[in-house]
Amino acid sequence: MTPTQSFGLPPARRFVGLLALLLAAGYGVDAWQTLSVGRWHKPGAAIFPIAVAILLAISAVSVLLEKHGGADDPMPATFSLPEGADLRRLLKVLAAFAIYFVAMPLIGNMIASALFLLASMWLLSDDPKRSVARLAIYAIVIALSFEVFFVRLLKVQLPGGVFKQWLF
Amino acid sequence: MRFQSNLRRAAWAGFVLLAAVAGLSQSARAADEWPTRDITFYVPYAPGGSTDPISRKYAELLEKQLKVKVIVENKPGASATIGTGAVIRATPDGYTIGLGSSSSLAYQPLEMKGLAWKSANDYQSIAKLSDLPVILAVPADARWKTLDDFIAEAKANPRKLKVSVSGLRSINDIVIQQLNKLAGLRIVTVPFTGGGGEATLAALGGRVDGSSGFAPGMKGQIDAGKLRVLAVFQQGKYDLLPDAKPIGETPWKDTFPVGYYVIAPNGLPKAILEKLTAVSKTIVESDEFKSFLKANGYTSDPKIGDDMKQELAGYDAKFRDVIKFLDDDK
Amino acid sequence: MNSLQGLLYGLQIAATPTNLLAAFVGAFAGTAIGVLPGLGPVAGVALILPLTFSLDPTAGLIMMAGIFYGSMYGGSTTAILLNIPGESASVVTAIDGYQLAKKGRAGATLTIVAVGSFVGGTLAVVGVMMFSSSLANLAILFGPAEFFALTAGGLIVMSRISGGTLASALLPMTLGLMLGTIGQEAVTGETRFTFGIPDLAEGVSLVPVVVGLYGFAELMLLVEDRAHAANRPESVKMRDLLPTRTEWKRAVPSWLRGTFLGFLFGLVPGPAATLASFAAYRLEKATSKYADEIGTGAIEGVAGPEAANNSAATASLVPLLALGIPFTPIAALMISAMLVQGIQPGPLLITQHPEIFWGLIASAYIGNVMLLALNIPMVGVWVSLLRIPHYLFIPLLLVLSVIGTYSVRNSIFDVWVLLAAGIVGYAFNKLKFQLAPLVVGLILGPNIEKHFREALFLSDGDPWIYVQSPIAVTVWLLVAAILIAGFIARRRAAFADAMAQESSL
Repeated sequence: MTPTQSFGLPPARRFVGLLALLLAAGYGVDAWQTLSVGRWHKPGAAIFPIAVAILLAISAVSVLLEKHGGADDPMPATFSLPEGADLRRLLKVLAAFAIYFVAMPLIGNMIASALFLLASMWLLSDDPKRSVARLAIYAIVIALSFEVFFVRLLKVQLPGGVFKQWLF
Repeated sequence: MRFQSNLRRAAWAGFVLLAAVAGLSQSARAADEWPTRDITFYVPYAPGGSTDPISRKYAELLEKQLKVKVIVENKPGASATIGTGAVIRATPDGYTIGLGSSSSLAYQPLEMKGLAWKSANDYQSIAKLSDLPVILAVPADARWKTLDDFIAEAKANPRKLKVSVSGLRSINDIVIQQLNKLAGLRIVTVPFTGGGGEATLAALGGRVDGSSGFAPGMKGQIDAGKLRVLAVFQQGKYDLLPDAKPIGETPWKDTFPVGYYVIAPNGLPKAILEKLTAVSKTIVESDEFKSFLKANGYTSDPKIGDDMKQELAGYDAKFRDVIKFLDDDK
Repeated sequence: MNSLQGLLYGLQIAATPTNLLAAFVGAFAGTAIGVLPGLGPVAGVALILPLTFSLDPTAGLIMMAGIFYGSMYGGSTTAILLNIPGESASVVTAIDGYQLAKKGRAGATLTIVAVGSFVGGTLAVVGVMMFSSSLANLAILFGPAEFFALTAGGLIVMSRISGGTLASALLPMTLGLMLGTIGQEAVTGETRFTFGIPDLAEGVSLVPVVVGLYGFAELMLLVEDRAHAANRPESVKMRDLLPTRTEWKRAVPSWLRGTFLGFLFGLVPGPAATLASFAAYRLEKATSKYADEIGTGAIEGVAGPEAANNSAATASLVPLLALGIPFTPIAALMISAMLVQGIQPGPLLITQHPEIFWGLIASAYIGNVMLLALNIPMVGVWVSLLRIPHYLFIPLLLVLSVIGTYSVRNSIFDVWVLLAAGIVGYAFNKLKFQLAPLVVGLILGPNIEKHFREALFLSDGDPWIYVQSPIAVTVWLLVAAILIAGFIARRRAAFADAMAQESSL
């Protein structure tokens, strides 16, 4: 079993409800102030967002007022989040993913994909004896075949980056 | 030691020189030999509108002329200002050009704040592709047989007749407002979204009294006898609908079509600009392009470079007048 | 020419080698595109559009239609296997499909989907053929007020689509509605809630939200938890690829219900396929004998929606061909293809270009047969994908979903939306909020607002317009009936529970 940490579900849900309530307030006020309400024969852009803000507030309150722990409560009392090595690994993959987006317009999709594939494969592999060279070959083959299939064959426009003119 | 550092220095110098030469030849070559790779042609509208076929035809012919791929990319949204802005803000290397319309280039800068262009000085005019006139059609069973009938009733009953348009302040809305202004009418325009389809549907279903739109999307219904064309908003006869009365034959002749243009970002290298303009001139004046335009209801009106720029500047003044009329009417 | 003659004529046209090849290439490419997360039918048809210009019009349109059906089908594959809907119509398929896959029934489920798509598609073609002239006018009856009833009523009915408590569904749904208001709105063109970010002016698009909410969140769950990852079936026996007798028997009524519902949705302009699959799921929950199991891996929850979305996709050819008015991006692309070829779609198409009209209808038959022939043998291949080690598979899917998301609008911003949606999806998963209502809200929100306001523009400010037409009133009455029936059913169930508890005491 992987190490996890348990948290109480009801307080977490109430926290989400509170966030949603604040969001509803901010959103509604912004809509009221910046958008035009219009008139009956020319309904403006503010009407629907205001209705949505009210609905969001209602649903947020209904989450806040939920009764938990009854015999017929369909929800579990707790939820778990990873901790220790698992948490670190999850965050590392997320970070690699975000770096991948930032790098994509700069160095092009193909190279960014290959690097991301290599990094995340390495992070996710359980094998302590994993060979970087083997993973690198996988990464390059996958990135290259995506490039051929999507960019060359299907003409999907992906960022080429600064190396665009030297590739192919 | 000394020898080594000399060597290093020499290597550096050589590298810098090489890089400089490479860079120079790269940019000189880039302008002379343009194009060496695929060109992207942005269309600021969703596929399926009246803009799509014409863009793709131009791209097809450009491809034949330049011997590289021209990729048509739809970048719709925000009344065509997103795609138009993407062209205007692009690197001026000749590899990103695009379509602009009289609406996105001349009308929207008057209504929207914060766009990257205010006038025709802010982008490079290449060539005008075509005009497309607005038409006014009513359901076939409507009581108005002619434009005069329609206008007489509109005059007698201000704010009673409704005409569907594809979007508030789209060109087909503005054209009706211009008619309102010139003829002293108050025809109500009802905005529909969805690229003209819903506007046409509203007329077919009798929910509005007429629809102001473009012939390519409505021709099927017109030919089938479900819609009757009362007017075409241009000066002379419309080849696609020869029976429709041109507004040029009425007292309210001052109108405008929607125009489609090829634009590029400002600052193109001279060699590229000249080649692109020359090639575009060949295309818009070619028989193949002209017969395509004719078959699809577009009007050929080739205007290259500064001629196109002048036309857009003229629209600017006209649009300002209509906006003033609308503001006064509020 | 009557329908039968027309169909025979169409079959002659569709059965030429060129057109058969076009149908095959379309169905094949469509399936491949649909399987890739993010690349849905619209992207597929758009990618192929330039290619069709070099073909003759009939072959070009047949190929586009093939891609359309193929990708509708392909989108459910990843939904079932990995809980990653390939496109929005597959969102509901993921709910029960993924649960079934976890129970080791992935192969059987994929087979049920393939056959269900075939049934839905083929029956809908028969419907199109027989009623196309009389049903074409149905679309004309729908104006803003009727659409408002349909979309707003739909939202109310579908808010409880995936079970759970009302609050767990309502909150995500309103968040979906809220996301839908970002960007430039359709009616008066005001820009809302963009905070000066130009990319937001185009609005939050559906694909990154769906792929992120489901796919990315699911992948995060796999990353965090190796025990969960190890639960995957190591190998699937041939026997498990085929549905059992019971599964076949349970699927048939759902297919038929789904097909009928999908056909109706297809005739009405709008995002037919997506709405049809959501509505069919809702219908299964209301009518199936096994309604209790839906949500936990019931074959009905997959069979109904899949038949419905293919049936709707086919039926949506009716307004396209008969009116020449596009209501979906795909229809718009097909019309674009016709116009470039110099063909005027509209009521006269059937007489002016019978080869296109009947060729397209006949190719839908052929395309459906091809899809079935293509996909039944593929089921084994898809299922064996699950055996790829996770350290390879997860990065690969992440890259694929980025490419798919990016390609929809060529926007790196959408890729960030994917990441954000993934994090929200992960949190909602943990906190037991429902995800499907968020998607429903995002799809329906902009439509509801648009029709609501268009109706007021049309009536010059008279609110009675919403309940003046017989269609709008009928829709509202139906919504009320469904709500009341659901309420009574829940009360009865609660009462039965209470009785059971009492008697056990």
